[in-house]
Amino acid sequence: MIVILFLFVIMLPRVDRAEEAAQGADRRPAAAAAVIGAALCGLVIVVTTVATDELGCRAAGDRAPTALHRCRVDRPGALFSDYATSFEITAAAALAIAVIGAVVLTRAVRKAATSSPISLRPPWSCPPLCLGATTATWATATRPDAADAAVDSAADGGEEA
Amino acid sequence: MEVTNDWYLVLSAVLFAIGAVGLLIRRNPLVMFMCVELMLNAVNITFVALGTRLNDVGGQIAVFFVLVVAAVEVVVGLALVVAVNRRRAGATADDVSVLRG
Repeated sequence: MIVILFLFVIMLPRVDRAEEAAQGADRRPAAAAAVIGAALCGLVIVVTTVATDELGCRAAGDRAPTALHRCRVDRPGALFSDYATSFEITAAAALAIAVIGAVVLTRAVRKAATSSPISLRPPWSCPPLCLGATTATWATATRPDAADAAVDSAADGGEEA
Repeated sequence: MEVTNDWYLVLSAVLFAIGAVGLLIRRNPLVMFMCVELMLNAVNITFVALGTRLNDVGGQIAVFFVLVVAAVEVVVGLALVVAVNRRRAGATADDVSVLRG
């Protein structure tokens, strides 16, 4: 699923440019987020490394009867015995329900999009001028020397429209 | 230099912080999903590292459940993102506020 998510992000055209346009030159949220992130990083490091030492379970072979050791799981097959119910609920039930829900969601939206009067214009109703403009920007981004020719062709397309 | 158990915990803390910062500053829903995945997998590294340190299989069992829940989240989340993007292309997380009743 993570690979599919990566695929979506990679296929998404020009994510950063749209975000920069929406965000503007205001850098205060980013600075605040960086401060929060640094504080979070330090907090998590302290909690995971130091706090477990405080509980007295530093060494892996330590057999001291601490609070953590009292509820230890040391059988590899515990997933299919002690946690069998949780395993079935998450792996089978939740995943199946989620997939069915995703299919229902996309199908319902498709039905609403064809019948609803306020549905925004679909990509195939793009006028030739718009199509030429996108081609021109693409050509400008990939080949700077071909920018003029692309703009000319876009203008021609607009006149024909 | 020997890679001790603490290094994995530090790595997971750094990854978790990167995910949290990305979730705070990015507005694209898909990138935000990726940041959530980063945070979940940082927690997975913590589970495995502490499970190794405490000689406990429970950490790896928890990782399994986290992975399944992450997969469920991506399935539903991608469906929602696709549904929103079909209605208005290029929607950011701020645009979803039109759902407010």
